[in-house]
Amino acid sequence: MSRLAFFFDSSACSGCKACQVACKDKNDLPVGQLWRRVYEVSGGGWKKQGAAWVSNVFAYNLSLSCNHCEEPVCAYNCPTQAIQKRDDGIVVIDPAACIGCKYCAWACPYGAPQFNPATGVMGKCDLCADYVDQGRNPGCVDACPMRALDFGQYDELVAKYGDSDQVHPLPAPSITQPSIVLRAHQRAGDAHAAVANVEELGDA
Amino acid sequence: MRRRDLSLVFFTLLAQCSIGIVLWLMLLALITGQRPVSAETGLAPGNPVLLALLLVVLATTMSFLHLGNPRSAPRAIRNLATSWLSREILAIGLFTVCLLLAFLTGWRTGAAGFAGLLLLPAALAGLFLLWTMSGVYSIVTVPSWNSAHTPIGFTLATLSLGAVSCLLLAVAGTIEVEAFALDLCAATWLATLLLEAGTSLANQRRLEKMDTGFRGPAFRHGVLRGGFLARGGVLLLTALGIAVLLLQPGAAFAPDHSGWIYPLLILGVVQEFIGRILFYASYFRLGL
Repeated sequence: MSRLAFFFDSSACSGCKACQVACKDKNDLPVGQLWRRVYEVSGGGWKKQGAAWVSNVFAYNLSLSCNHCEEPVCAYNCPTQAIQKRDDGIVVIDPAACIGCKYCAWACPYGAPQFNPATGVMGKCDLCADYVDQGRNPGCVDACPMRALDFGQYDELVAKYGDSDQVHPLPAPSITQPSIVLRAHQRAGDAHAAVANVEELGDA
Repeated sequence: MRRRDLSLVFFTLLAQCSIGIVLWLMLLALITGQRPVSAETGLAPGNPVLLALLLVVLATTMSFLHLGNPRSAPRAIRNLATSWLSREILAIGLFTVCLLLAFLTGWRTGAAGFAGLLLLPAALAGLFLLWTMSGVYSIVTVPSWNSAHTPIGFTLATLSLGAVSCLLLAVAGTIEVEAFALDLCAATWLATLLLEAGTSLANQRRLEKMDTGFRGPAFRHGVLRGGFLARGGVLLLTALGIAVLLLQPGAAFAPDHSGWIYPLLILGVVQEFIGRILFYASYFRLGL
């Protein structure tokens, strides 16, 4: 069965947010809605080594949208079956069936489904399904100047890039089996790192 | 807690109060060995079955305020296989229908009371509803809710709110129950409150130890500590008041003690309200 997935290279991302803007533009999202978000993760500080003070400050970015999980908790919890997984693995929301109960947003550990007050229903990344159906890449992938984003079949992406699935502050992949392949920043396993732009990202 | 969650605070409390009334009516019947007799039937405001019915209808109405697109609400029962929310909606429908049948039967027969046998399905549907309500919050990615504290808290709240309502109706004279049964009801309420105080304290400690990840350690910053302390204070004050009343000679929950009883009943509702706000405010999920 097909399993379309994103690849994200955290070590290459400069945090320019071109992907975020491309997504917002393509999907005509209102203020406050970001179906792809760039999280700025930072940590470290100064520590004394002998007589000297040494810095181990670090920062990296995580560009994330819906991960089109193999076990989508959003779809399992949706009372109206408005959230469905297509044969190609893309998880989509049918706005006509959605009642805007926000139960999917409670459950998703990636903050993917977002409530749109103007329409009264949930919305999220659909991997630019219309582009995919035309054989094109999702908008965010083509917008990335660093080529930090890629898209394709999950197994092919793993073979091409390898897979580091435990990146702070993402949850354990075993929970939802996200269809994302990550190349982690060298400090991405540091549990003392924190998301620095919480206010910018808003109601995630 | 977000403002939109306030409708869920009212929904859960009102529904659990309705279930609690039905359960307590059944318990009083078991304790006394006879059907609890209502002095008021039909559309009289003191009819306990009508009160339970109105509460669950109001609860359902409040739940609609939470929806962004309520016109599609009938679809919400389509995912019974995996969605606890669908199951909850089925359960609240069953509970409402059972209550409606019990009410209509009592009204039609004009009996000085209500059809006890018809309350049994309502009580079972109420327990099913209580179970599904707990299930809604058993989300694997929300560790603050996904624990035994949720079903325990909901069950205790149901018993507590049901006791408050039945004692209120008894003091107002709209249901006739023997004094010893009412005292037993009050004593059970007291025990429920003490259990709630204990579990609330344990839950607070559990939450404060949690790594809340992306959102930051809100609990360790003491945001919720004040709320838990306030609830604990109201809980203990209510429990103390009930204990004092129970130690009085004669029937404790009689109309001549209403000057003491009404404030206690109000405190009982207030502490449940604070507790439910704290429940929703404690939400955080794993990940981002």
